[in-house]
Amino acid sequence: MARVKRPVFLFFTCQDHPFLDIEQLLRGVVEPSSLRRVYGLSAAVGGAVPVSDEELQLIISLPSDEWVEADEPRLAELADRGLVLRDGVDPVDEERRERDELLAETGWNPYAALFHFLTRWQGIDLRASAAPGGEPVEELPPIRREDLEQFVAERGPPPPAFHPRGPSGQVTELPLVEGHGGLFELLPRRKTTRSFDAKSSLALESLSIVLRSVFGVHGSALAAPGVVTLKRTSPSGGGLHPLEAYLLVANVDGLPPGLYRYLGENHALELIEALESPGDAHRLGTSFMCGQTYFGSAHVLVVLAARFERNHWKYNAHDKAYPAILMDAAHLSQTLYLVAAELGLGAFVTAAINGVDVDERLGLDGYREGSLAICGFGPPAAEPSPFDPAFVPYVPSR
Amino acid sequence: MDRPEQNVRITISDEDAQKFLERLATDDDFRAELEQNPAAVLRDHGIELLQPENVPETVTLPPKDDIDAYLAPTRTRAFGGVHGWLGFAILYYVLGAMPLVVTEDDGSG
Repeated sequence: MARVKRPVFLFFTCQDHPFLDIEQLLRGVVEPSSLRRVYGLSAAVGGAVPVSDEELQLIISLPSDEWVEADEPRLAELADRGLVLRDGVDPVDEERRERDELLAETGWNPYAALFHFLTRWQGIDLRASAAPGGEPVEELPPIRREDLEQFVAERGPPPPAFHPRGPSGQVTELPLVEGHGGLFELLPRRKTTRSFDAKSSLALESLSIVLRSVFGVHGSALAAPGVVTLKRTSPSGGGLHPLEAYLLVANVDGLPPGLYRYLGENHALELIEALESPGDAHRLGTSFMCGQTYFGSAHVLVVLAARFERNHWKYNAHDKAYPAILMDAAHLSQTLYLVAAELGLGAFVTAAINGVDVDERLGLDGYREGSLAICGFGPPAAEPSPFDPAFVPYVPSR
Repeated sequence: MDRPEQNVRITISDEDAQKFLERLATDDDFRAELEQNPAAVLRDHGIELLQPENVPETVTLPPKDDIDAYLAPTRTRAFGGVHGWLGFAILYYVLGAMPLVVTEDDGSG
């Protein structure tokens, strides 16, 4: 007889999926129908699992705060699918128990956990079906006009770039003045780079400047015994700075290719895993970024990983904890763009990452600490990428 | 109602349900197998009719083209929703980080 309980971080949703009426299908008729199905959404499993009405009743009859003895065969099947926790020495069961407990212990807001762990990707590669006809490719091809036209035909035109609601109140035109010097000259040079110079390497000093300027610590304050507040060049929710930088180095002078952790306390790099060559680093980086080959050639990638438990120490199960963490990542990426632009380097950031794979490779459990996005930088190629928009200057219309 | 509920229990994932329909639109051998032994083949694919007495011993399926025509719009909707990624031929750039920029084949873009 097994001991089971219901996971704490388990939700249910009802979805309609387009299908065919099977009875009509067997009569030779195509009759649209729908599959109305209930899914168990398990943050600990990180997926949606269909459940029958009977299984749903069985699951919600279990407590989540204590183990109960049960010999119902369907519970064993539900435990196999991750919708019921099962006691014992099975390693899969053990991992699921630990994950459910970790979610609670590390202060995850239930809705944030649901979103975060059900939207993490694993093993996705855009190259798998990027060629016309859905065939795999080595390099992502530029978008063809006919594909974009088909996309627009299916979705309709996008909402207009400028808000379509015309002014209904009094309009005060502002003076068209431009700032001069320093930051004002840097800001227009800030841009996303999708093509890096494969023939040059990044100077170690440039790498050091970027890391020190973006992720380095520039001040500390002791708020209370054991409570240290850090100052970086980007804002952070609650002044907690829970974002860490993990580097995938491909081509930097004097620094072998590999995975590294940036130690802000010492302004130093800790080697996590050495890689054989820049090519290996590029391939690993491209797989991290779901096959986005236009980013994979960057000289350095920076995985932005959140120490969720540091943020959750203050914002325990807080509704706004997760949005604040995402904003922290966004602030850091913009600062990295600006520093890269000042150094004449190209930069990018992407949220389209295989977070599960990245976390596993970096040795992060995903619950206490996990990846959110990847930035990259390095000397840009002389020629722009075919993916770059051809911007023309814009002056506010009067 | 445009899409009546079915008197059927389906215990496979949405992805496998979609693959089942794709095979009906493309795989002659699979179609023949289903036509000759519908109840067993449906059951093997996780589809159980709740009134099995309504299932004849042999059936005739709709033409492949009719099923393909039904599936066409569902293929481009095959991302998002509860599973996020269903692995079908997709407009890959929707999932990437690049802006929607077109490069003409003649280099004029």
